[in-house]
Amino acid sequence: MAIYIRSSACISPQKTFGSDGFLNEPVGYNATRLPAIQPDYSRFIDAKSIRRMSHVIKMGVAAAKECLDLSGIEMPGAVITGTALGCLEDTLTFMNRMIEMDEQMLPPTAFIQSTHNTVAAQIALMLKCHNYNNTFVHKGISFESALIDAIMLLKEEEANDILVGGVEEMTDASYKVLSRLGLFKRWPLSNFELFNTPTNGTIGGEGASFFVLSDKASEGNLAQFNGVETFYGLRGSTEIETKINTFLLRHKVALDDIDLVITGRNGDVKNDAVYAQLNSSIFKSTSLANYKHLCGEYPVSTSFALWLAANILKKQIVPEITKEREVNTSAPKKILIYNHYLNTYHSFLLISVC
Amino acid sequence: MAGQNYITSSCVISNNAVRKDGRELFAVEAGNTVDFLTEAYKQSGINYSRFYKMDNLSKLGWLASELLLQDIFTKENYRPEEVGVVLSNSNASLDVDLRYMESVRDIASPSLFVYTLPNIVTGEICIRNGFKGEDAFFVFDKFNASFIETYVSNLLDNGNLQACICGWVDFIGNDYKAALFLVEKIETENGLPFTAENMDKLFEDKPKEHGVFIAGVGIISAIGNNVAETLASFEAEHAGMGDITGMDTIHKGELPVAEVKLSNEQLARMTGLPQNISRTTLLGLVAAQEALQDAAIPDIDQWRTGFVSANTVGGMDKSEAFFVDFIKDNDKGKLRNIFDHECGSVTEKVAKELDITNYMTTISTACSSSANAIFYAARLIKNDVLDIVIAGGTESLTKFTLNGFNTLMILDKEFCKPFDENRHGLNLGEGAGYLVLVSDRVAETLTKPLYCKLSGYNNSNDAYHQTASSPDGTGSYLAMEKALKKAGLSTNDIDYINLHGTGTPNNDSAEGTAIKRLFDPYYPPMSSTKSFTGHTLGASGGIEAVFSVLAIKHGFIYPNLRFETQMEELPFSPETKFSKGNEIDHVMSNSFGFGGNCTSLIFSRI
Amino acid sequence: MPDVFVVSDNIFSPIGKTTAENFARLKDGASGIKLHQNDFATQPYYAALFSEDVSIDPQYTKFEQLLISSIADALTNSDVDPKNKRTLLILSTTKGNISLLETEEYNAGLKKRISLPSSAELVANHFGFVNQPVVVSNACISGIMAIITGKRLIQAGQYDHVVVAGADVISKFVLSGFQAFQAVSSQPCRPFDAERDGITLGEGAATVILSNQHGEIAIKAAGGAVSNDANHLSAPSRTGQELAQAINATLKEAGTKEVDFISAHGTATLYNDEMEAKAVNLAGLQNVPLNSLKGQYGHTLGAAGLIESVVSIRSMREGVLIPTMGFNHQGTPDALNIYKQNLHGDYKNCLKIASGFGGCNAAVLFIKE
Repeated sequence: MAIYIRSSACISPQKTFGSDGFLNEPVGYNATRLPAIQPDYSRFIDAKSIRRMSHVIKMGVAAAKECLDLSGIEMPGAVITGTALGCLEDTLTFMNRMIEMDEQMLPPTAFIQSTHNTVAAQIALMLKCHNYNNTFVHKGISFESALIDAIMLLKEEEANDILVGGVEEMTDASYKVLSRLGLFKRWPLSNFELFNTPTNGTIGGEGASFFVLSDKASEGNLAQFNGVETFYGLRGSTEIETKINTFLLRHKVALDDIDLVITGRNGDVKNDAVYAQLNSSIFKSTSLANYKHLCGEYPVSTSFALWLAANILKKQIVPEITKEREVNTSAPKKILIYNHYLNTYHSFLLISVC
Repeated sequence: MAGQNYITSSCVISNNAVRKDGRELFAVEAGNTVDFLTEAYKQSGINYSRFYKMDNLSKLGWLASELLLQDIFTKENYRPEEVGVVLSNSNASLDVDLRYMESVRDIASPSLFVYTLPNIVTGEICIRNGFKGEDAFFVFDKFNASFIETYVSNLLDNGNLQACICGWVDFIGNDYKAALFLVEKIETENGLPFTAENMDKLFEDKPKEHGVFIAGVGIISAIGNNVAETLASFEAEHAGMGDITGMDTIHKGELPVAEVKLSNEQLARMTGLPQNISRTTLLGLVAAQEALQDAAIPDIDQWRTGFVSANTVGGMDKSEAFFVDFIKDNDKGKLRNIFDHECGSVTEKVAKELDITNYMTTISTACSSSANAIFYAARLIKNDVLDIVIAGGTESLTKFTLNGFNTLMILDKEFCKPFDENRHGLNLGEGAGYLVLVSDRVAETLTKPLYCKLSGYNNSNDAYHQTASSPDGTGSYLAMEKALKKAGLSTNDIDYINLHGTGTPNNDSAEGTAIKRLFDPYYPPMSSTKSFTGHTLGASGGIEAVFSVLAIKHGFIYPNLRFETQMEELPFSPETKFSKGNEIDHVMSNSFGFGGNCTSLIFSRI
Repeated sequence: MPDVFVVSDNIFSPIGKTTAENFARLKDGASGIKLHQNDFATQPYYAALFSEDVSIDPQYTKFEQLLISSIADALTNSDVDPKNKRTLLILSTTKGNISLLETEEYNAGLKKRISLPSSAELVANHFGFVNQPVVVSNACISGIMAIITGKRLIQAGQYDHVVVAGADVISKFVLSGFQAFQAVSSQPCRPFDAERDGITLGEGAATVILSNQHGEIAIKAAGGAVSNDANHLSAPSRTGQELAQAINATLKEAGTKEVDFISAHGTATLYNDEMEAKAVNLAGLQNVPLNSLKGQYGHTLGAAGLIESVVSIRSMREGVLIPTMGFNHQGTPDALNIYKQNLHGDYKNCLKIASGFGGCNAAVLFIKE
């Protein structure tokens, strides 16, 4: 069965949302944390809800709504989200109050909105959508798990036009904790210089990217979604090479057919070692692109990468700011995304032009 | 007047397999569709030198016609002009059109050009068999069985033909499908009446849906640290609630909870894990290990094994300690109490101990989480992603959830009374429950009897309110109704319902109303086992799935403890006594959660 | 079984936009064949092509536009309502929108756009046909096959009216193919002539509206049959027996042995015309006046059977038979009655025949009552 990306919407630290441009005016930051550019939420959410909803819910709901609008689908056959940390802000709000107020006289709102499935639930509520609704919360493959679920639903013919997304927020507290754990670079830097700063640590990010996956061919479709696969564990580059080859073989694609590889380089020397090895081995004659200098590192960052790849195929343009090595990107037809999360969760996504 | 016409043979080629008369003739391992044709031709054992000259569409149609006629068709029974060929497809000759266009760039190939008409495939079949009757080729976007039925019946009934090969043959790039039917006026042993319905049935070749079987169960909760202890508690009708002992909270002595009667130290000793990790992980490993041992799968390394687990707040029991210091000073708080305590980490740690690395993921949809984990796991098996999945959920009591539910004012200060007119809320509990789900291929290798199969499942959304259920229980109704449909069962088939039955006025009213709407007037025995275990949130779907599976195996019906007064709005009341030896074939297990997330699972005797 | 009548028709061709216009010009000896030079071929070639732009609405391809123009005219001259659920649309073509492969990049969107069901749906929606259209693609007999299919569906009681339309467009794809076969004549084609050396291609569309009720003059589609040579994919039968079989079956169904004239396929290839002559002789019809209209229209592929049927029906209505353009001296071993000037008379029975790649043959008999 052919599966298509019918539409996509992305809220990120770049001008990716509701914009005609395609990363042609990249936004620079001098920081170790890239905050998502917030759209005018009043277009998507009523004023009362805007006040009540946390950052991650607003990003999720707005991106989902925009994605549906772009697809022309009013009622998705399923809503599936991936989010490793879920509604952190509400969780910490409730936690703080619980501690500060010694478990007494607590308002319920933050708790109500703290469950990981709040974004998916709010989308269902907003659409009055009674269909399948699920949320995956597994670290660096949360979004990939959601994609696998969506693909199975399409193949089972249980649903058409599935809304699937990845959403993650970076709160002050989580930024602080992750900084203390040494995940980020120690000094602020220009995000455009991320790959020229080979030291420990990366820059944090956040965002929400949604997609409508459909089994129907349609003129407006962005791309064909060929496959996704994840695996677990610390692996050497030779083993990853084998996994990539097997993955491509399974999808009847040769390495030579891949016009562009988008990798999850994030500027951390340890993290990037494996990409460097692959770039000089199996990817040595392939065009390469990166994305984490644009959106930062976060567990569902592959949802940003998928948004990027789908738009590259639709618009037939590889944005300059993403290019690492250009071989031939004039008419890209197939894109492979390879990302790993903390060297333990690896994922491959393959998409092609319709 | 015309007599009856019969489909005396059928041949369907798709999905790398050849089926004749609905049964698989052979399957072919091939990397691409072109190789598939060559391999299938070789496997067919037929020798016809023209085969290699044909385009893909003709190869496919010709091969299907050969296998269609093999062993059943007696050419001598008909004159050449009495046999016709009526075919159809959606892409005409596009596959070879594209190849021909390629050739035009260099030197236009006449041998390809011949094939740029879809009816050439009928020509190939006629040449091979000397059929000189009517041939026709139609193009439809989908197989139009009723048109073919009308057209071919007409030819047979009016005497234009005595026999006809008809159907569908389409080949384009990576997609192909042939479904040919031999229609004659004679009734044969395996012949079917020539109708659109019969053609559609044979045309549909969705691979037989694979079964998913339960091979093992594991559980830990307030009523026992394993399956045996749990069953003993049920039989003794002994609930697990009591005063809070494991948490330092101001609600101690005021709000009853259903705690697992083991300390973290004891759990750590049982599992061999360090005791400073989250209790959620410790509980999860105890139950998952029991389930895996129970399944006793020989030579498990040969299979693709996965772990799909649910929880709602990860290692929150540890993070709470971190934040006490952190909120005073952001540079304070022991990092090991916060690092790696997200939901996914709990799953990952248990999976590592179980030595599962093929696939793992975590689902978190509030109180329906682990029911969703079980049904996602079943689908991973059905979709041939995995062979074995350990699925369920785990949850430990935390101050965070206790206070959270308390702010919603849905915690009962007494032991909860689900489905009672005078119910006041839920009691929180903790524990873990896992099933070992296996594919039919794995099931065949097991020596231990299987428990049952997972026959139905559905997730539907109430889309009414973030936490409250709709008055008529829309989400629960849809989940139950569609799970029944998936299982191919009706309400009369259900022998026991394990209710979500939290004991809150809102849940039980909505769930009860949905059951009334769906089941009236037949009400199977039902009960909420949360009257024993409390509400274990992310673990409840897993724990109650274990109860459901055991109900089928042992014929148990569990009581709904402390039930006194039937709810005024409902015409039924739950079971109040434990009984065994019941004939239980199908059990429905409900799990509904915040965000309107409603899931029903149906387990069935094999 | 109910009788089936032709109640309206149209020819939309380089010769004219209506049946009347076409027939008037045919009587005057007109031909649509000219020498063309364009991107389709390196050398100039003869073909009957539209010299003007036929498009009206840019959402339709030329192929679809031809169908729409032809159907629209045929519908205005009849009471048949496309929106009636007892009305069906049948389309006939060999290559439909194949020329899109020459100008567009192939992808999933184009695959869908190029498919015959997509065109059928667009055309059906244009007129508001409520039933799913049927597409016949059976090489060069498609047009006759489509008429026979329509006739049978009415007789089976499935529909009261069937609009049968066919079209094909000439592009590089088709021209290069026949050239690769060395089947294209270096001159305007000369059917049945001793000096014939191949076909001339043509494009156009035609429509026949069939109904179980008849108009002022009742033209009945009285019989029709199809057969297969089971011999060769691109060469016709050596004996002509199978086409004769189709002719005999057609006459048997019509319950008559009377044939007043024959509209032959007459593509002007050496073998087709020879085979047809054999078949006509086998059927004992060698003395019946016979023509081929390929010298006027060229070979219009999926439209040919329809265009030539409509001309034949007009011949019966007006009592004028159109001669074979390009024919001088008998060029088939088996003799035929091929006339060189317009013939006048009362013609009641017309046999239309055709053969095509894949070894298919078809015949249909029209009777004026």
